[in-house]
Amino acid sequence: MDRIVRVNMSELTTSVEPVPAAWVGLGGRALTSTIVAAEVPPTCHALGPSNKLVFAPGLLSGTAAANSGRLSCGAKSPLTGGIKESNAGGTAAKMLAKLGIRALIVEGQPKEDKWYSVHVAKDAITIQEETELLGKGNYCLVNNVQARYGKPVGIMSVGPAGEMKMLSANISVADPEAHIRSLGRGGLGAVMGAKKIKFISIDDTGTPPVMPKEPAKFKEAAKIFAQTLLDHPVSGQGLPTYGTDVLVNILHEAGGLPTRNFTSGQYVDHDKISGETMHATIVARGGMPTHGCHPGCQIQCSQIYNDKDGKYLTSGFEYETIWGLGADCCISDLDDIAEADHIMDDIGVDSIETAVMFGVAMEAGVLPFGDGKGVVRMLREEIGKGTSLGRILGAGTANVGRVFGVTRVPVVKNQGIPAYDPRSVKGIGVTYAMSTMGADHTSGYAIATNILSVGGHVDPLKKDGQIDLARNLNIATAAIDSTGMCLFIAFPALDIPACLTSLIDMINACFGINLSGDDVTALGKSVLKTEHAFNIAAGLTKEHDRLPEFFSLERVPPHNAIWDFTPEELDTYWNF
Amino acid sequence: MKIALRLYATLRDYLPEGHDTGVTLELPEGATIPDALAVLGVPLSLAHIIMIGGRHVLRPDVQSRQLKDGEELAVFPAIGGG
Ligand code: SF4
Repeated sequence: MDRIVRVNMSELTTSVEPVPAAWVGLGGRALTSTIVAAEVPPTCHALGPSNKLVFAPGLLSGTAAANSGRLSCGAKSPLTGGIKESNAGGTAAKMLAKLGIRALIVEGQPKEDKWYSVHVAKDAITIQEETELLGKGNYCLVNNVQARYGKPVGIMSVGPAGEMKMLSANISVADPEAHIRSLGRGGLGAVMGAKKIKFISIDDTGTPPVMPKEPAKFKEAAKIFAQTLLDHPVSGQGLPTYGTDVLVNILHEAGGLPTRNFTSGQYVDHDKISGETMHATIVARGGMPTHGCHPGCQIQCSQIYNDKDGKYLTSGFEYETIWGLGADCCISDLDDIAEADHIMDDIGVDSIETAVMFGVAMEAGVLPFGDGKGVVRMLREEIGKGTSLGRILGAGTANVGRVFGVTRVPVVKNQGIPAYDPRSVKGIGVTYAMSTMGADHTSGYAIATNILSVGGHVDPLKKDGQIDLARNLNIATAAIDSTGMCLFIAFPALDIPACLTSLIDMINACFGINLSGDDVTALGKSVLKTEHAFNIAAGLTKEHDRLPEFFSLERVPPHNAIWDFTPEELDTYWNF
Repeated sequence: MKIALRLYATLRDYLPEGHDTGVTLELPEGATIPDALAVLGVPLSLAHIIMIGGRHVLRPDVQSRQLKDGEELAVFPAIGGG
């Protein structure tokens, strides 16, 4: 039976309730954002007792649908001050879905200065005091907790950064290899740390697989869907072979690869950090170029990257991390970046926020551009240990800019701008400005159409069509984020009609309902409107839907592109 | 005339021995993008994204766009990420 679980950290009690009528048919981001909007006072302190941390598997999580195992996490973000949804792979979504838990809501705040863990199993949800693993990194924690239970339980945890409530802190989710995936953006790890929860473990022993209401129809649709993922060259070949890091070279060629804290769109050492180089390195060292972040991922864009001695160094080694420490911080040694990636996962900080922050810190002279060893040291010795400098660096890009008097600070709503220059790829600039999440490329991935010629082509250097493009992509993404699907299904979905129709058929067969394509679009719109209304009530007005001034003052080579949308033009984004 | 041709991802399999990222091609005046790709035997059907000087050349223009001396041609198969 589907249910909602509440974990009250003020009273140290747990409760289970049926899914209220208003939440039936919602999953993933639609559910986390609906719950946050309904139950969290928008003006509350994000690290205080009134905020709630909501975990929700997607609508199709736990079923046999390919790529359906993404877990959404929502709260008021301490970084942006607005609503947040972040999603990740790992094993947790499937386990929660099998347990019939549509959402797990953590509320309140302990009165005593003690730390806790939460264990979720078929017959009981319990809160225990935790002492042993305090201060420990996520890798050590995952191994210890799975050893305690003697089985690969699902885990959501915070590292030292989350314990210290740093604004860049993320929540780690254990993957099938006991490695780390991240609910990365927006400081959700600080919210979990503020609730004094070191980890949540999930044991789905004794639960059957999630059964669709109409199994034959579901099976048929799932088959078609999986075939479209195989048939599209991006999801069928490009992503599994090179991972997301294949983007380094194409963004460099297009002049949209932000370099040296967003002062150029091209990086001279691009080939040293490219997906092609990473692939060759992984193969030469006996790593795995192709790997899935959750059971049932068919695309498998992840990888296992070994060090020079052939020992595991990191996995889920993404383009945005490599771009950020690579081009934006001018670190051309992929091994240094991989080591930094490992440490960021271990101490539990968002690798995008942290990399963008280091670009600003380098401009401020805290360390020189290109100093990969310096970044590794600062992650381990300053941020990981919470020294005074580490606390400042862990507070994210915007705060580091303020502390050091830097004016070139690439953030929207205080969240670091990822790996695509908005001046030379204008569609993604609209997404950065307008997203309810703060600067977030995944909320409306205009790169597909501006750069990758997926879903047509809109000239990245011109303003024409960009607002419509960004709006449509943000609406579609809000719907996809609610299904539990990995966003990378959007590549086939933009080009192959059967991908989307079979996805809707799967949802219909799973729940015995009859959604149309228009209903799915309406869901995406309503998610965005719910989030937007929360943000406005929290004090994020349209003046926050803007890029930083320097993008309109400084032209970026090689195209000498400038950010030239007017506020009035941007505001038309919300005309739907 | 001389043009620089850079290939990416799986298309690098078409590069001659000793060239990791691209080649310089000597082509007759008026040569087109398909002419340049034909030198290395790259099937046009795999050239999903084509840029000259960092600007996309769209499908309808690929056949007719004549190359000019000194231009830089970058060619990608279908790729994605994010
Ligand atoms: S395609 Fe990549 S990000 Fe998506 S579910 Fe698979 S491994 Fe995870």
